Amino acid sequence: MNDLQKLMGEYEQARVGALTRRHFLQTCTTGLGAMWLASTAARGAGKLNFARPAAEPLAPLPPQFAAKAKRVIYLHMAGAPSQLELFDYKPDLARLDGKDCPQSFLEGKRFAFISGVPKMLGPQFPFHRAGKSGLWMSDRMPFLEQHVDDLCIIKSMRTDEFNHAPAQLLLHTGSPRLGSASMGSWVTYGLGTENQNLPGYIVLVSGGKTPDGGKGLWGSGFLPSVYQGVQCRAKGDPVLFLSNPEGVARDERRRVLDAIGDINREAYQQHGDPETLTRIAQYELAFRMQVSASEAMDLSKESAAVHARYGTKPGTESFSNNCLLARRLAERGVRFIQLYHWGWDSHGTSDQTNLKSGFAEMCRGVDRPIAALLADLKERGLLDETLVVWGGEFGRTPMRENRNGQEMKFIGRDHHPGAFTIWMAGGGVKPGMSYGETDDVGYDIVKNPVEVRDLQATMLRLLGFDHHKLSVPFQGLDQKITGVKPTRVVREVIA
Amino acid sequence: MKAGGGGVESSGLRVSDVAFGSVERSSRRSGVIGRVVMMLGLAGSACVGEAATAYEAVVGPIFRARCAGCHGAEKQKGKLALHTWERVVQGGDSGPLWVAGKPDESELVRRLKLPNDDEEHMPPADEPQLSAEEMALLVRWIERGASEKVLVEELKLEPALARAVAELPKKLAEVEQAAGPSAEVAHAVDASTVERNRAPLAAKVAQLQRRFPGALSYESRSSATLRFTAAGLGRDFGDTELAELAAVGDAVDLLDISGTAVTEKAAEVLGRFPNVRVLRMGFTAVGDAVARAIGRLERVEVVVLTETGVTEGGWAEVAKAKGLKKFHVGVARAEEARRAGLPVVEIGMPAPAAEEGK
Repeated sequence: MNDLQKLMGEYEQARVGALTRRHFLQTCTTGLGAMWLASTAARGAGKLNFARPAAEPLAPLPPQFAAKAKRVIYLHMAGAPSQLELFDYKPDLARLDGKDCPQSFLEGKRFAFISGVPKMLGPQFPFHRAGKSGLWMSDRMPFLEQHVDDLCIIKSMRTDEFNHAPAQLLLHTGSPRLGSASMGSWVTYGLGTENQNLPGYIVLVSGGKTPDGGKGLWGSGFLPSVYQGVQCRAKGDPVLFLSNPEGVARDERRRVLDAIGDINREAYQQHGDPETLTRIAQYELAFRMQVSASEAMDLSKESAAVHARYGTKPGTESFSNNCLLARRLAERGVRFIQLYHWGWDSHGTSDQTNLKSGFAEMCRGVDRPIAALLADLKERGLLDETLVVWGGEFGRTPMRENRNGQEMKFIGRDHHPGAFTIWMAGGGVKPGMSYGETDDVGYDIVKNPVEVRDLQATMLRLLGFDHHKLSVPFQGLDQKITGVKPTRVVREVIA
Repeated sequence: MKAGGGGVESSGLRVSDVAFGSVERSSRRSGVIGRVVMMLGLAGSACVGEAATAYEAVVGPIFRARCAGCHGAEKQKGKLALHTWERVVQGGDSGPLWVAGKPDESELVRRLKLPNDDEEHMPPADEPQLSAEEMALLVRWIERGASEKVLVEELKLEPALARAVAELPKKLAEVEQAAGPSAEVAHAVDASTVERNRAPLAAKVAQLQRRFPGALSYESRSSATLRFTAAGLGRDFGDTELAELAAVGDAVDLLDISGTAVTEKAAEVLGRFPNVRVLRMGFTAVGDAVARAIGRLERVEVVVLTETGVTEGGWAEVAKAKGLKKFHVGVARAEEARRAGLPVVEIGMPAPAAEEGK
């Protein structure tokens, strides 16, 4: 069989395949298809409409309600920093330091590594009241402390997951398993983005490791893939293969894209697969990004004063650089900016995970750039409309980790889903407040518990959505990030 | 923010829109107007004797706060919707809501007065219940004929009920606050009202949205108020473009042209954005002429002038803006702006020079 025959054969097969499918769908309009249509139409009553022109999947849509927050900068501290060394001050825990953990804490509980009877572990750093609001903070974040009156600290977070990957997935996608749409995807789906030359949802990773939850953390799940997070790199092309290959000029690239676009549009006419539109839109966005992304990600444009403020060094991968990039992206109208910074898993198995050294080093590494980011947002008047969220995927135990029942050389704490602390700033949250309380040793929540889904619903409310309404039908269910369990918008933290 | 307004005045905000709650409630820019109208229309009606009708001032607000979560624009349980007069008079599966003049024969009153544990009692037992005064007001209204035209004064309210009417907006606002966002959805404007509010500028807005992709949008799905940000346009946006945008300037609440190529010439155009509440012009070449123009903006509350050409003398001009609440200028010039009486926002981070060098 020669090449031409082979090609014709494949063409014939494709043609017949397409015909059959169309034929099937046509006959379906009176049978199954009609039933499906009727049920979708019924479910559509009272729904928000997120339809956009096919070529502009990221066109902005107004929120459901007028809202203060227009964008999110989420600073995820991957590995889960200890709330007991930073924000949740427990003087009683200091008194119990070194004593055996009461049996009542251990019964029916499962830990990642603690076994037998661990010892209680007091706060490793001194605490004091900070700012005009008098919120408790340890001495580990002196720069951040200058913004304490802008923080809304939630001390009563809890989660269902006690391992990093599922806990991160739950926090960012609403499900501990892979395959659901991430918060950034939902938000860009709901609101689109203001800068049509940059992705609406950008992810920046530091700490030398992709978070345990993997790239599914910024996946779009059942939403069209145009809404998934775009990970940008610190060095070289911000997005891999963004530049034209050597010898390809920009106008040549344009002609190629036009030709591919024509073919794709024809394919869409035939099959109606929305992913084809995503493909077209992505090619076009990439073409525009060849100019704009490089400009946005170029830190060398910033002044020496700015670099001093953040402690940044252009051309390296660091949390500081990513904070400065986050500010540059916020200025350019990017909707959802997600940072992951690994290194907070302070089990006490090595000096790096020792609360006394490695953890303290991590604090030093994030303190200045976070404070600089908040300062820059304030200077630009952008903090009012930018919701900044800081936190890990769970908390740490008030007990000292005793891996295999042994006392360890370094001081660490195990994973603790039962209580952790996050803070939010800007974007319409109440500034200078502390919400929720844990018990005297920081083990259980005694007042105003906030589930992960409550946090998600609250973030969406701040962005102008009722979380029930930001949903799409998939697999017979109206999917939403907050899932099907009862969920509460924490109105007390909304200004 | 519990204001009643939301439409743009030029698009014909009517008292009835506010009292009906059919204009979005949480808009800020026309918040003041909205609140004033609301006070005239609702709280003031009993004492001032405005021509407000009892439906607008009393019955409609009760229906929307207490019932429209299940009987409103979103859900119509029992085919009943109580968010607009047109739907109220249609009744639901159980027929008309009332018999004019005869509260005792009215389905509405019967349902309200049933014991809480009765399946037909409304609102359902696990929902917030009407107060005794609210019930009395509905009964009185039906006694007086329950038409759209009955005026508040025609209800002949005794002092206790008149007081209840005066306190109604505050009370119902609390009910909605507690009920959460679904109540706000029930309040959301029906599509035709949104369209009507947006109509005067709609064509112009659509044209400018094509001209400046991603930059111009409505504040919410039910608002006619506009927000503009040049974040995605950068230096491609300048004085000429600002003048084009001024065509819809009346409706712009937030104008963010930081980092653009606008110059002192913007001073001539700023007056065409009389309702702007948030104005960001940082990192531009604007100077004292723009500062003077900002000083004349009566509604402006938040101004950003970080890294501009405004001189020290310009701060006093900006300070003439009477409504100014927050002023952003950057650490380097915060002190001099503060001396000129501007409400400078604390940055909370010392100037780099004062820090240890790194």
